[in-house]
Amino acid sequence: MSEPQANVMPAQDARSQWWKVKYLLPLIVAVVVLSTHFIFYKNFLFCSDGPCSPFTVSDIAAGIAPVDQTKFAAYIARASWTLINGVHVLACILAIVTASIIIYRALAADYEDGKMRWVIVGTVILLAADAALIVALWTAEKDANSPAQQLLRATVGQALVLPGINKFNRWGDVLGLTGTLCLALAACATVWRRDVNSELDADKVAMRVRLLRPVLYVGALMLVIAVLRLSANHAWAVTFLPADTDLGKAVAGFTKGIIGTLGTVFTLLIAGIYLPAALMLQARVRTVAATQPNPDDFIKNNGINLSMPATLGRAIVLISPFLAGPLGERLVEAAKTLGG
Amino acid sequence: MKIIILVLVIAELAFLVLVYWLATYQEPPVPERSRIIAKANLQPLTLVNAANLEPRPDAEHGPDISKLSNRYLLVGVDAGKEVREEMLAPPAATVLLSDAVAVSVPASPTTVVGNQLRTGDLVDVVAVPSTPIKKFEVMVLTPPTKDSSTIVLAVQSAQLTDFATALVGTQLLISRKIVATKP
Repeated sequence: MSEPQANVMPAQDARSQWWKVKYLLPLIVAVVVLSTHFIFYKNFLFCSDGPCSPFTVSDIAAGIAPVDQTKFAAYIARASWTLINGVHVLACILAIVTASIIIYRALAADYEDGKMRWVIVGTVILLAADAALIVALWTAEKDANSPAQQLLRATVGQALVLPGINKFNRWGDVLGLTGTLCLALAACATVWRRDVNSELDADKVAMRVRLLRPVLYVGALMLVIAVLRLSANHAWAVTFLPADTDLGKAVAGFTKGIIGTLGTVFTLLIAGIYLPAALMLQARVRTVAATQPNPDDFIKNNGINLSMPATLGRAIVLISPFLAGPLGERLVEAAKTLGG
Repeated sequence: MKIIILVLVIAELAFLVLVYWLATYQEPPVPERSRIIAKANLQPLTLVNAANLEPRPDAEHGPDISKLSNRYLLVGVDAGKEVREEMLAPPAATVLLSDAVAVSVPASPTTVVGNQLRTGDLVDVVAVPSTPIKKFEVMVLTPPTKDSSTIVLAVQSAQLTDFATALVGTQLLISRKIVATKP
């Protein structure tokens, strides 16, 4: 315990405990991104008070192609949907487990009692799941007549195909949002300081920088898979409609729009989770590195390089959900072609 | 520690309630697609009507079956499967098919109509040269394919003899009315 003393920074001017709100920025920004999405798109999502869809379940149902024409495309689309949903569940579990480990390790400096930390981890996961369930229940009440819900209900949701498709998607959304919120809270944990006036420890700062990276990689992976899941959902629905009809073309174009939009939202979400924490830790790295005999060696030895090439690699990871959008669109295109 | 455990317990209880709530939440029902279905297994060239067709979801909310009634099926349909307009011979073919025989004629450049013939097409068959020129209104049962160089036509039984006579020493010409769409 004597060595870390050499790495300890002198305390700064006393700060209010309200300074801790800053440590919740990754969660706050993520919530702001999601809220903004709902606020801007509410007129296209929430139809309980009036029509917000260019088509209805009846319109879609009337345009469904005979089973013989679409059975191969529907089979392939269903197989893709099953595979991607399975991978999505695994990715969400991976995100929750990763977030749990990060929170447990990041809080080790402030909460020495391991049991206490596991209680915090359990509480965080349950609160994230509660928030995700509330959002799912709220949207289930509000968006029942949105275009995507009507499309899925009229096609995949038909009796004998998968009547519970929308309910199944709600559970998938709950799992995805739980994983995302857990990762946001894990990012908060990497910058969390129980005492805002405590001294910075170089080794602990370096460890927290390393802990933040899985938040980016696992988060981006999960959101890429979420975009593909969304694409697989819609691609399956599109296979029920003949590709050469006006309705088939309109719905295929419409689903591409949804995928592109949500790919962008997910990119902003992962950026909102990662960047505030990364910037706060970057500032701390610069502060503690300045106290080291050789700052460059300190950064290099601890694997906390914040140089442009290293940052560029992470930037590509950040935009991966956006890049997954066109991939998902290709899935819809393929399904449409097979359906035709 | 006590506060965190209290929060944990509350979060856990809320979780259980919310899971139950979502699990029992009723999504809007899927309206049954309105369609006309076969009441029993129907063979090709079965005359369909209210006796063997049924609207879904029911007579009040389902489609009107009169537009499909008194027409002949071109394909077989299993019980419970949908019967659609394109599976049926045109209404004008009902009288012809009520007393018809199947006749094969050779596929040739003057009879295949550019490989545009489809089952259920009502076409005219003209035998040339003949005096006077003989014309028969028939329906295509089986168009020519890559593997078959014949066309199977439904000819009225009463015209069979005339049709067979007209084939001797003549060349057949099959024509189909062009349905032009005007703006």
